[in-house]
Amino acid sequence: MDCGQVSRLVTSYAAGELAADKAAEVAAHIDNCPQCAKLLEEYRLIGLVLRSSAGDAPRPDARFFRALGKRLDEVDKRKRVIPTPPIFRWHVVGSVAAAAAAVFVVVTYVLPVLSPAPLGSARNDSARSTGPIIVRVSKSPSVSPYGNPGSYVPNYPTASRSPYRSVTMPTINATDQLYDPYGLRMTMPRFYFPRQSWPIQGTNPSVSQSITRVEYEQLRSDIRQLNSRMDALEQKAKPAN
Amino acid sequence: MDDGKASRQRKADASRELIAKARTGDREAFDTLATNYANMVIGLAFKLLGSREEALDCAQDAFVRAWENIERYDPKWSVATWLRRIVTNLALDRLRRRGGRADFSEALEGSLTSAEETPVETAERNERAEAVRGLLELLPEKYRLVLVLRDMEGVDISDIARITGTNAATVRWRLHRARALFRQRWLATSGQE
Repeated sequence: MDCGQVSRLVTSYAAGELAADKAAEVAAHIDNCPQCAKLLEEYRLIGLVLRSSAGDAPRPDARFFRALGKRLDEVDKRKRVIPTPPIFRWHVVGSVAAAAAAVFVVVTYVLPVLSPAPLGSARNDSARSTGPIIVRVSKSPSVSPYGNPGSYVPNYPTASRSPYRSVTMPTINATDQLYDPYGLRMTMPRFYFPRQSWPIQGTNPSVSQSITRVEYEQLRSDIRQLNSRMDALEQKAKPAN
Repeated sequence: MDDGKASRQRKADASRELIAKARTGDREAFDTLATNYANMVIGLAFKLLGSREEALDCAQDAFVRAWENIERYDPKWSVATWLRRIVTNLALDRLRRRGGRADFSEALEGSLTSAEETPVETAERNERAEAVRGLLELLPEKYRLVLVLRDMEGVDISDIARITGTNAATVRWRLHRARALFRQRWLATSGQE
């Protein structure tokens, strides 16, 4: 070990911070090098000065603890008076943000993909290869049972009867008209989500869409429920043989 | 395990119990913790700031901040390291507000004089105290901090890394630079270099 190496280690050596093997090497060099020995002495002296200058800190007395106690009491009062409203707690904020993000993704990216194809030109199962989200129309009525194509507000009269004889349509008042911007009800679609395609890419080529796996699972579950409800409705609507 | 280690371990265990209670809102447990660590917190503040009054204020601020943020305490840290980090940050804030200079005249005044010294010894000590004060004031903040924590407080290098938000290698390097700078300036002021 030469003087240059020792000069880089001597501060740690003087403070007793070196590993045993390194310390032995430094010690061996210093034994034969008066210059490095002087350096070591200087660092030891500096350590001593620093340690000795550390010994005169003020002691905490009763006044210190009384004042501290008062300030801690004030903190306690603040904590009691202004409890954090649940809405500002991080886990609540996180949940709300996640839900908002999911809704945003579904409304912005997924629903446009599911917007209805013109009546009579609905894709069938073979269209799966063109995109992972596939809309299948189980029936191709020449006239929509729920309203005119393109109309956002179904225009059937109150308490009208659908073309499926046994189904009585709900009464729609002016104040609770269905919000159906994508015309889903007009085409009675069935939705398929292929299991293997991930991430979901929309079929609209102008928009690159992807949603998270959780959102995908939620959407698929919602659509399954929707499909099964529509199946049930159709089952009821079938004329009795 | 020797007595010193065993005693430190017992103290650390007791502190963990106290802070666990304090985290549930037990104010008495926190008061006991503050009593146990007051000397340490005030001592560190004093070494960083150099003024008694400011050190006491800073130590109070540190305990208040600790109580306000008790739920953020990470049990991976020792209580001492956590409190040291809080007081270090507060002391550095104070130093920055007054332009980065510590005032070590009070810190050195009492420690480097003794009733049994001869006038010559006292004069020598005072001279040395002046030099140390000047050096500590002039050291860049990051070097002063590691020097105070390691050479004056005796804090472990791994704990200094946590307190300063760096790693052990950086702390070792800063320590080496701080000691070398201190020595260089020490020799320069005493006319030996």
